[in-house]
Amino acid sequence: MQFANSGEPAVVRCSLRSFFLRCVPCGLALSGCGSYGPPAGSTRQAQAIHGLWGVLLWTGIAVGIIVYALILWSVLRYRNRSDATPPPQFTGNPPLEITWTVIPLLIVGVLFFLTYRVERYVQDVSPHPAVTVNVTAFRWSWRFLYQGSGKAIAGTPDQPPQLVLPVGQTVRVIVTSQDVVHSFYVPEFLFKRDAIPGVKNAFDLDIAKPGVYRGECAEFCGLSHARMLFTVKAVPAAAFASWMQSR
Amino acid sequence: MKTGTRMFLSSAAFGAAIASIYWYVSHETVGTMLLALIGVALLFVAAYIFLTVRGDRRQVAADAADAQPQDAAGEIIGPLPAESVWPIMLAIGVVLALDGLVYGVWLAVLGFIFATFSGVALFRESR
Amino acid sequence: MNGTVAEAVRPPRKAQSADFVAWLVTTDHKRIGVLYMCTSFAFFLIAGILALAIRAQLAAPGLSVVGPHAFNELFTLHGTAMIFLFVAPFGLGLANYLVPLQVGAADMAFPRVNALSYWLFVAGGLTVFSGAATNGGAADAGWFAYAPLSDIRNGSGAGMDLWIVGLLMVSAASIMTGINLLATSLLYRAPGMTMWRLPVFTWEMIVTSILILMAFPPLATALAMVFVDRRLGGHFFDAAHGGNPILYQHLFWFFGHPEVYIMILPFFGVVSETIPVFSRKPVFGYVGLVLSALAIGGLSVGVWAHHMFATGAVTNSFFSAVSFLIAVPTGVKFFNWIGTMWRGQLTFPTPMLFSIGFLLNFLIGGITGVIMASPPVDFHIEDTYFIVAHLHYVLMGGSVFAIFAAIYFWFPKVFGFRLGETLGKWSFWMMLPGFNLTFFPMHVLGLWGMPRRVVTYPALAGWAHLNLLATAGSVLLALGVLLTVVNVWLSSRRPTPAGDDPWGGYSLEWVTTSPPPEHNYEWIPAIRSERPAYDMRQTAAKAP
Ligand code: HEM
Ligand SMILES: [Cu+2]
Ligand SMILES: [Cu+2]
Repeated sequence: MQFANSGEPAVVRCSLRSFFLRCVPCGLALSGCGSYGPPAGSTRQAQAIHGLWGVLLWTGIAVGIIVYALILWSVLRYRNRSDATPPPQFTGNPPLEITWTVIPLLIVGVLFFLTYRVERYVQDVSPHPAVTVNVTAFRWSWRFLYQGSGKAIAGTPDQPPQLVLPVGQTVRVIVTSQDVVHSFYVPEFLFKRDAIPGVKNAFDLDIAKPGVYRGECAEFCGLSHARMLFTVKAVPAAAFASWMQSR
Repeated sequence: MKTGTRMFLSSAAFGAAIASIYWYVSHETVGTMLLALIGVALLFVAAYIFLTVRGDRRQVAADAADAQPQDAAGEIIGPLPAESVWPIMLAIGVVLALDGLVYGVWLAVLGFIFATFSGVALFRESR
Repeated sequence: MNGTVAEAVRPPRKAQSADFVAWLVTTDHKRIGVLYMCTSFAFFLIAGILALAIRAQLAAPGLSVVGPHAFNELFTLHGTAMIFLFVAPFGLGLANYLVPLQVGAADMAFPRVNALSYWLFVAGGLTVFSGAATNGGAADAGWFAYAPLSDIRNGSGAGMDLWIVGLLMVSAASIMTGINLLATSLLYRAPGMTMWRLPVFTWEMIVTSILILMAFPPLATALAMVFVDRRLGGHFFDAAHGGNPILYQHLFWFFGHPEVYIMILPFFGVVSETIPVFSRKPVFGYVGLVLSALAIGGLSVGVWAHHMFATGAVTNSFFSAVSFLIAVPTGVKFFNWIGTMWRGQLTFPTPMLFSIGFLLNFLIGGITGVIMASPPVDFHIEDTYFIVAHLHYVLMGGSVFAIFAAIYFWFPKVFGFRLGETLGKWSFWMMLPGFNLTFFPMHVLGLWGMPRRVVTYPALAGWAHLNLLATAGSVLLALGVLLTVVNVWLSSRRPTPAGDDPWGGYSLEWVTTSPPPEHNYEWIPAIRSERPAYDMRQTAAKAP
């Protein structure tokens, strides 16, 4: 296995776990880490999701290769060469059929278990978030209100708003909508949550990497859906604190 | 038709089971109700099949593994096709009635009358 | 046993009176089946042209081939037509034609109701499209028309109302056809055609029909409620007045997920008929195929909210677990099809090519389905182009490839002459790469975060290339489809008689003439297995 292009540091601790969760998905990309897959993830939650994605992807690829091989083998090996004798007319093989019911059952059982653990983690909300932002979606932009400070930012389709957030602290986001269903989506966070009128949807983000991330509305909401964008600017906690003081 | 009755009975049981499990894990009413309704509907189908096919000679022949083609002789397997204008007329009536909800009540009323007339005709013809 | 050639090329009997009226008043399931299939195929061609317009707009970032409003109408009509007016009705049309023949009945249980279903389906389809002629244009809220976006207070005009009433008609038609198919396959079987000898296609239609009966009433309810909100001042889905938008999503997807199985089970049935015939073996694991269809049908009513993972309003784990589970019976079917080919003598006429294309494409769609059954992963993927890729791998690569297999397989039975093999093979070899070029890149675009239903997109690294690739692929795919249309036209100008049983078929319909007489059978052989036509050939071969 070659990890030269994986973008991982040269010394890779190759425990089986890190192998499946991190190295293999990256190895898939032909030209550099992750370039044909999802972003590596800029929040702690996203990193957990990325690991789970790797497991699902590689299980899927393994199953896919086996089944493709079986199909292609049947097609090539058993293509008709002569009409001489009719093929054996067998109609089934119960032990075999039970086997190929039970094995997939075990596979999806394991996948569900892993999924369940990651989901618990991703959906977990901390009792004491450092920052709480109320996000209101409307056609066709966003309003961000920092709870307890009165700081508010609103955008328009032509001037997408920027949500400034601290790195390394727990951020609570509460999304709702004032008209139709939208969805708050930041691809780098591998996460979206629908903004639904009359519903307050809460989730936590623990941003791990500073940067400016693209955000978009993911639920079709009418004429300017494609222009319902925003950015998330993740800055170190100190910079965030002084930004909160400004203006 | 034991197979059919049994199939619908076990599907109804499945509906009841999945409705209960769903209620247990989610306490969500809409989905639970829909799932429970499925169970009830399937129970109805099971009962209907059971009652209609009881003692029907044609059904017995269909389910006999060693039946000969002539076992159902004298019984027609299924209705024979005959022409009828009423299905398309009824459909036109329904379209007018429903599109009338959008375009204007007069059209809906016209369509409703047309549909009722064709519907009655269709019903009488099929008897 | 084979019908004479002269007989085979004769057109269906009543068409001799060349009259158009005979088709309007027919209650013959074969004619209704043909009408159903032709009409839904016409909707396919129209929806395909709309898709090409969508791909033209998305060929490069920042284009404005069509404006945002027209774009929304385009994808709404495209999705609606493909799902409600093509794939599902084509399956019903095929079943209309085949089920009575396969069970040995003279017609459907309720022939007049059958005709009514067809005409309501046509009327519903035309009503949906007639929205394009209204002032505000056609419906533009997507094929699932989420409330409250579909509410009049959020913009959409009369086109949306027509969409609603049109789909109500289609729902009514589907329910009636479902009942009809159930009654026919359960109660009108020929002597000896026990349930466990029904062809797999008929079994799949039984499960499909049951799903129709459970799925369409909630849809009709949801549509009616939206209509009340729009026209009669209701507030079912209007949160500002105590309504609940989530309720719409529950009702819609309680229909929506079974609907995806309504759109695939008939085609599982198709390949379960074609693969054995072209492998010259009985289907492998008949009982397993039937039980897995029932299992899929059962589980499919318990997964609806996997379309709502990101709403935060549903018990994700329950739906995740059931969605993972449903992959198991689907996998069983796959292995059974492979087992059918195993040690057979495979030949590859066009219907077999399309069946293998079905296997290759559908597998990828099934695998991405399992990946999305995991809510945390779906949080990233939902509503991106990854979904678009998944649903096209199952529907276009799966169902539509099987539809083409069905067209090439049963055309000789329906019309008495064959479709050309050369053009058929060209069609397949263009559609297979065209399809994969169009839709494979969309997986990657989705993983990069390209949302679906956007009229245009930024020129981020790689986005332009993959979108252009998809557009190029769609042209190839469209040309492949066109070749089959041309093939039908050319083949009918110089018909090559097919005989009663051109493929060495297994199920009962291959026993009767091509095309079958009005009441389907002059006589019926003794039925001793799920391959009556095969048994009959064997007996004939043994006789001196
Ligand atoms: C192995 C079986 C399958 C599984 C586990 C599966 C899973 C899923 C999931 C989880 C979604 C929701 C994704 C999202 O919106 O976030 C989805 C979407 C979809 N699936 Fe599947 N699927 C399977 C097979 C099929 C089949 C057989 C069809 C149709 C023939 C189908 C058609 C669709 C469609 C049309 C959508 C998109 C709906 C929309 O948002 O417009 N799927 N599938
Ligand atoms: Cu939006
Ligand atoms: Cu689904």
